Amino acid sequence: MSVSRDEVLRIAQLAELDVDDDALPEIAEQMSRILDYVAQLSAIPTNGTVKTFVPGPDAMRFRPDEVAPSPLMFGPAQFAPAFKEGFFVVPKLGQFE
Amino acid sequence: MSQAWETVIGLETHVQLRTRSKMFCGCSTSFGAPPNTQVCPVCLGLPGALPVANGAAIGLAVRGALALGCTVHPKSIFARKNYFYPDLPKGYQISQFDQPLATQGSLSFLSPERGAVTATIVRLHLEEDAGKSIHDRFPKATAVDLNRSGVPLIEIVGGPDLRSPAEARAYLQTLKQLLEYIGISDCDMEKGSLRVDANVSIRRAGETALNTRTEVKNINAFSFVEKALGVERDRQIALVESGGSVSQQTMLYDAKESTVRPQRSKEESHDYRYFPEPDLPPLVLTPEFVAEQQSELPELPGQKRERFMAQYALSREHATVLTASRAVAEYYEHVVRAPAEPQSAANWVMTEALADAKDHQEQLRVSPAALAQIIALVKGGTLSNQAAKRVFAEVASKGGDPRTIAESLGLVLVADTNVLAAWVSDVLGAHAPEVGRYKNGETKLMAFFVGQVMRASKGKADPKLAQRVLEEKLSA
Repeated sequence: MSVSRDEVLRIAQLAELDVDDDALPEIAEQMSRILDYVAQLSAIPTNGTVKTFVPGPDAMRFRPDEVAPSPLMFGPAQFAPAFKEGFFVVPKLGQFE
Repeated sequence: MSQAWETVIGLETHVQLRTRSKMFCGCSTSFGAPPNTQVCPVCLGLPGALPVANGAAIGLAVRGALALGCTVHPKSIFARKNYFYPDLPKGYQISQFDQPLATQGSLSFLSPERGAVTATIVRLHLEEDAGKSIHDRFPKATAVDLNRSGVPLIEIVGGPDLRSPAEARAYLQTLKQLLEYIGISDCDMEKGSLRVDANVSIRRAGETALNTRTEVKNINAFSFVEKALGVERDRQIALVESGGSVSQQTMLYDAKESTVRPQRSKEESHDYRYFPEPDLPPLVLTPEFVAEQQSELPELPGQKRERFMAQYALSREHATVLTASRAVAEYYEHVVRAPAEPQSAANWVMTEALADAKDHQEQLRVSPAALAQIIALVKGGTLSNQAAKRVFAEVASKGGDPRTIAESLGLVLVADTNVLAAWVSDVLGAHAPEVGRYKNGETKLMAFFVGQVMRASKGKADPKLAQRVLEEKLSA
C-alpha cells in the first residue's frame, strides 16, 4: 500500500498542519509502512468464525427516562476559559482565517 | 425553470425525540432554560464520564422506524463521529454509522405535481445533538450554550426520490405529520426540534443517472424549504447552461437574501473518522421490545384518512383536512359520536372550529358535545346558520350551554306564523313594484323577499317558514 504525496498533503490540510515539501517523501514512506503493517490484519481468516471483540457486556442496558443530572463539583463559569452571561465564549469562527 | 431539466432531491431530517432527559445522561431536555444550566460531566464531555443510553429515546426511535415501515435491526452499533467545533465539547458526536438502528422504509405523500408518490427511507439512526453556537450575541466572539448537547435525535435519510422543491416540502410536511401523530417529537422547526438538510442535483429530463449533488444546509423554517431548494436548483441550471459544472459542496442558505453560498472550505473539511463507540456495548433489541413499541403506535394519518372517507363518506379533501393533526381528527370523531351528522360535523370543524383554534394557540375551545348541540339546533330549525356561528363564538369565548346562550341572545328562530305573517305583510307593502313583477312571472324575486323578511326580523325569522308564508301571501 503506498501513500501518495497528494494524499499526505490532503491529510496535512485536514489536520491543519504545515508540511515542508522536503519532508513529503519521507512522510509518505512512513505512512505507507504504517498502513502496510495494519494491512496484515486482513490476512486473518475472520469469516464469521471469530467474534468481534467488544469491551464490557454484549448488549447495553437502558437507563430510565428520568431527570437526574450528575452534579458538577463547581459550575461551568469556574472551569471555562471564558464565560459571560451564562455562555461559554470562544473566538468567533473564521476570525483567524 | 427550463423544461429540459429535472431536479433530484433527497432530504436528511433530524428530529429531536420527546424525552424528559438526554440521550446518555440524566440532564433535562426542556427548552428555554438559562444557558448552560442543564449540563453535567457526561454532556460537557468531561474526562472519565461514561454514557448510559436512555431507554425511552430508543423506544421512540423504534416507533419512528416502524411508522416509516423500516426494518428495525435487532443489533445496531453506536459510533463516534469525530469533528472539532466549539459546541461539541467531547470532540465527537455519538451517532450510528455502518450498523444503524433501521433501514429500508418508505413514506407515501401527495406530490403537488405527480399525485401519490412513495419515497424511500434509506435509513433511520439514533444520535445525540450538539450544543448551540450563537454568533451574534457578542462582538468578535461566539457564545456557546451546551443545554442542547446530548439531546436525543433521530436522523431520517430519504432517498433521491423527490423531483421538485414543492415536492420536498410536501414530503417534509407528511413526515412531520406522521411523527407528530405518533408523538415521538413536537417537530417544532422554530425551536430546532426538526431540522433538514437537502441533497440537490439536476439532470436532463429523461436521464436516469444521478449527477453531482450539493448539500443545502441552514434551512431553519418550514417556509424556507421550497425557497432554498428553488434557489439552489436555479443556480445549478444556470451554471450548467452557461458551460460550467456542479461541484460537490455544501451550500448555506441565507433566508434574508434568499441566496445560497458555498460553505468555506474549513467548515467542510469532513473526515469524521468514524469508529465504534468503545464506551457503549451494541444496542440489542429483543422482539418483545420491538413488539411493545409497535403496540404503542396509533392509527397513522394515511390509514385514518382512508377510514374517514369510508366510514363517514367524506371527500378525500375533507378527510385530508380533518386528519391533518391527530388532535383535530379525534375532536371530529368525538363530535360525530356526540352525535352529529358526519358531513355537517366536518363542515363545522373545518370552518368555525379550525378558524377559532388558529386564533387561540390551536386550542379547540368548544367541546365536541356543545358543537354537536349547535349542529342539532341548526338542523332542527331553531337556529339559522348565521346565528349558530354567533352562538359558537360565544360558547368558545365564555363557555356555557348553546341553547341557553341562543335564547339569551335572542337568536332562536321565530317559527310563529302569526309573527312571520306580520313581517311578510310589512315587506310586501314596502315593495309593491317587486310584488307586481313577481306576479308577472319574475319568481326569482322570492329570494329578495326572503332576504327582506330576514332583514326586518333582524335574522330571527325561520327562512323556510318565511318563504312558505310569502308564497301563500303572494299567490293569494
